Order: sequence, then structure tokens, then C-alpha cells
Amino acid sequence: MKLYLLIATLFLLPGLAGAAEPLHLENARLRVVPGRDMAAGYLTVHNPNAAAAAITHLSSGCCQSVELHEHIADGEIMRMRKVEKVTIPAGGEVRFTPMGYHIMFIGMQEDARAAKEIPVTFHLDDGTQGVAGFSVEMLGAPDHHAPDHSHHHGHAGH
Amino acid sequence: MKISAFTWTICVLIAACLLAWAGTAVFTINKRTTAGNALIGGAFTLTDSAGRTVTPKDFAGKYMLVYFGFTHCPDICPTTLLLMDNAINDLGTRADKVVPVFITLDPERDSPEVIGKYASHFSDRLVALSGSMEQIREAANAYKVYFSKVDMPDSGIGYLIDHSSFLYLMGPDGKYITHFPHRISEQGLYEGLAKNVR
Repeated sequence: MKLYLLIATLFLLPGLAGAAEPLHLENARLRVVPGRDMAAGYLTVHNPNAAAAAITHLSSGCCQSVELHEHIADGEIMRMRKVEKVTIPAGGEVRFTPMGYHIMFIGMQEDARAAKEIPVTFHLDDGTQGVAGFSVEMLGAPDHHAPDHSHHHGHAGH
Repeated sequence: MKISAFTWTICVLIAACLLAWAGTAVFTINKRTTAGNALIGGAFTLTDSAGRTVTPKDFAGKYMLVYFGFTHCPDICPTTLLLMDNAINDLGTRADKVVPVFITLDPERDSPEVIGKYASHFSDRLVALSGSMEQIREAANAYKVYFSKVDMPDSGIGYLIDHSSFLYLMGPDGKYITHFPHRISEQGLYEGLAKNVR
């Protein structure tokens, strides 16, 4: 069984600003196709604070670049675009999912693709940052009949 | 170069007008033709991962489930390819009658070898095809697929391909039967296939 689907990972961003609580980064996971150096990562970000927070960029030693991207469905035409930031509303959450916001891992190194978990640093608009570990899900044969639908990834830690 | 929303609106409008002029707007492909001339599908000449030339004749007697995408599409394309394979497997004894076909819209990066290797991770039965840009255009036009290269100079990805995202079911005679949106559920796709594959 794919343990990573069962284990809800919870990582905390160490907030430096006043009494603000850190953002909750849950169920961070990365789908890797064997042999490909590009992959999409998903997670749920919850903001427990009374003020909105924005993720402005990401960094990781795993890749040439780690970027915030978004899929836009325009009728049946699919467009993918890089976005400058993703705002997490006060007291709310943003889900990074297939067909929505996602995190693009571009130019992944060989050892990163073979790793069980990839650490990524999240940079926020208030200058704080924190690290989340993305569990690596190897896609495709021989276990491509395993569930791989977004609805399997529910809330965790609530 | 940044592409403004305005430029995109114009491009989409022009594309929509062209398609409407052709009588088969992408968004309204709902009717199966009964006049003998299928609106969707037709000639293509592409190359598989073994370097063989592939035309619709190679699928004669089989149903084709055709999807256009590209390997740098990290999100929708893998999801759709898995969906196709799972739904075909669900057909059980009829599964062998349906050949899933993945045609790249990014022949610059997806050589027949690259796309073949990529496809092998999704399904043993998946036929992955590439070709020259001209050949890809011919295939996309036959299936009324919209696609457009979008430069992304501020991204490590370089460029992406916007594309319409349907799955097309073609009959053993090579003629169009129906199509499905890529967001269809596995159950929905299975039912759509089960109804048509005999």
C-alpha cells in the first residue's frame, strides 16, 4: 500500500511575526513519473491567523527551480501558468490539487527523484519562511492501478 | 515576451471563429454525424517509439481512445492517461478491443522515443505517437484539437502548450463514435466505453 496516502504529514512554518501562528502545511506530496525531471506537488495550506498570508516563492536544493503554478480551465482548453504568489485567506485554506494550484518541481536531480521525501522552503510575504517535506509518490507501473484520485486526499490533522 | 490577456483573448476568438467556420466548434461537438463523413478523426501519419510509421489503418478492427497532450504537462496528462488505462481495464474481457493512444502536441521536446518511454510508465497497451510539427498539426486538425505554444520566459519550464482536452473514442472502422471530457470520472468513462465497445 501507498503509505504516503495514509500518513497525513503536518509541517509547521515557524512564524516570526508577533503572536501569529505558523501556517499549517498538510499532506505535502509529489507525483513523479519515472525518468522525468519534472513533477507536480500538492498540499493543503491552512492559515489559522486573523490576517491573510501569501506564499511568494519556493526554494529547494532538489531542482533547478520550484515554482507556484496554476491550471486554468477555459472551457475545455487547459492552460497552465506560473503565478507570482498564492494568498491564503485569514482563517482559511488553499488546496493545491490537480487542475488547480500546484507546485512545479523543474529540473529535478536524480537523487531527489529517488528520495522518499523532498524538503522545500516556503517564503512568505512577511519575510518568514519554513520548510515542508514533500513525500515522493512514484507514478506509473507497476502500481499504476492504485488509487490516484485527488478525492482520496482529504483533510488531515483537523 | 509576455503575452497579454488581450492578445490571448484575440487568439482564442480567432480560433473560435475558425472552428465555427469549419462547422465544428470545439465546445459543441455533441452530435454524431450520420451522413458518413465523421467530423472528428481522419488521416494522420505519425511515428511510434520504435520508429515505425503509424496511420489510422494500423488500428483497423480496434477501437481507439485518443488523447492529445505532452510530457511536460505534469498534472492533467498523467491523470488522464491513468484514467484511460483504468477505465479500459475495467472493461475486462473487452479491454483488448480498445487501444489507448497518446499523441503529443509538443513534438519539439517529445520525440517518439521520449514519449514512448513516458507512456510505458502508465500502461503497457498505451500507444504513444509523435512526429514532425506538420504531422502533429495534421493529426490535431483532424481531431479538431486546439493547441498553442506559450512561452514562459520567467519559468524554468521554458514553454507550455495550452490545449483542448478531450478523449475521443473511434470505432473499429476508424470513424468517430463519441468523446469525453478529461474530467470525467473513471466510472463515467468506463460506462461510456462499455456502452459503445462490442
